[in-house]
Amino acid sequence: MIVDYFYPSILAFLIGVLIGYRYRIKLNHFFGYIIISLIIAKFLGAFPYYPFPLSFEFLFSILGIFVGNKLKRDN
Amino acid sequence: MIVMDFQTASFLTAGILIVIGLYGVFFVDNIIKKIIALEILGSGVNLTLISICYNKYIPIKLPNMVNFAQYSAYPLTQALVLTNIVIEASMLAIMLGVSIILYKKYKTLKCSVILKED
Amino acid sequence: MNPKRDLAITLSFLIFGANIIYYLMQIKVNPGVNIIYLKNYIVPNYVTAILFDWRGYDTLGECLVLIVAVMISWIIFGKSLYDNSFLKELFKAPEVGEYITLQRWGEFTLAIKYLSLPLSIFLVGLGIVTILGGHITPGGGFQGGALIAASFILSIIAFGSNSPLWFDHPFLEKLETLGALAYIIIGFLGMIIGGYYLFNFKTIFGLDIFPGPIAAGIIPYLNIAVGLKVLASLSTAIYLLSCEKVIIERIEKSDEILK
Repeated sequence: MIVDYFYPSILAFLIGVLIGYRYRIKLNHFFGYIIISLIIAKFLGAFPYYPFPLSFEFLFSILGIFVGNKLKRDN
Repeated sequence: MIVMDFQTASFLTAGILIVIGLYGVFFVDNIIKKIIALEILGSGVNLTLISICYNKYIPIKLPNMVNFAQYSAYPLTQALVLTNIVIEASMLAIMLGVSIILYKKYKTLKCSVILKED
Repeated sequence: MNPKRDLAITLSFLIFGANIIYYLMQIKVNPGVNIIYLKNYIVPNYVTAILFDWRGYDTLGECLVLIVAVMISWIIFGKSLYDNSFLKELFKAPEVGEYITLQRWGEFTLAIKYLSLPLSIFLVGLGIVTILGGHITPGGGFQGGALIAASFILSIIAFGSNSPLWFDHPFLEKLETLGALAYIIIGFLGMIIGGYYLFNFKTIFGLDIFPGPIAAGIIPYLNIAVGLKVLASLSTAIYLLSCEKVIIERIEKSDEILK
């Protein structure tokens, strides 16, 4: 099943939310970070045995950091 | 010109690192420099353990790799080095903290003044 | 110094160093027990297989060593964090040399000022990838946790006490306790299902424990637990070693209030 291949990405998103909640300032330039992390994920490559062209775990961890920073209300 | 293989050269480097660390621990007076020398000694020990297990492949089995067990490096010493690195880091934290307290008490870091020699 | 003791130290150093180099040059390596580890396939990364499957007890003891080191650091520094009245006369000693004080804290170059925040964010992402790929790629819990702690160190060095990434003390305490507790509880689950402590089971009630192309069992969860624990421990050590600056700042503020 294709959903099974995304299980490490979901875990990466959760850990990213856990750490991104700890940033005390409001992070700006969301699309710039996403574009740079797409480039980094392309060169990083997926894990062996996973049939992806790029590393979705890195992309989802950066997304999780921004979502966790958005969840914190008082900054 | 002396030609030696990779493993022997690694062992020689590790031995030289251990001797440099021992020199620092024995003959240098400052406590911070003693701690740096201890770190050099520890990296010499780590290099010895790593170069024991030197072989052709890294111990990770990629798909389509045949006869893996003959060519792979030995994974046990690498696991031991991981343990050693973590314990070194915790020892380093404790040593630096104790040296801060020594500096607060004696206003110096020289062992010859702290131990009241001369 | 005492010349006799100098002579004894020099002689022992020379003999010991020559012996170490001489015997390291002629080591004969014996594979030993490695053959058993290499013939049995568990996960693609054989080092992780040894760390978390064959020798799980060793890794548990290693976690406890880290906890003890952090506790000793708290014993050394904790009093000066919460009760710093006795430090006032000690810090009146004159400053020497090029010691970085709080007055010149923000005076770094533009590269550090603008690059350290994005670099810390990408380092956190790389650490998470390293933790999660511990059973397939080189890496694992220890290395990934050290990477995330490195991003915390970078942020503290660049921005001082108002760094954007800040782990406060209750969070670090909870994270460290959670990591060690998760390791022990996963071990007890193995005892219930397989009969041995830290037994590696791959399916429960017909469902895969870790879905994906590799049936890794409980090894990725142990990686995550160890990663969170190492992250908390190294961050706590750095937090305690860098809190001297915070103490100086508080003392100066209290001096201004008293004047």
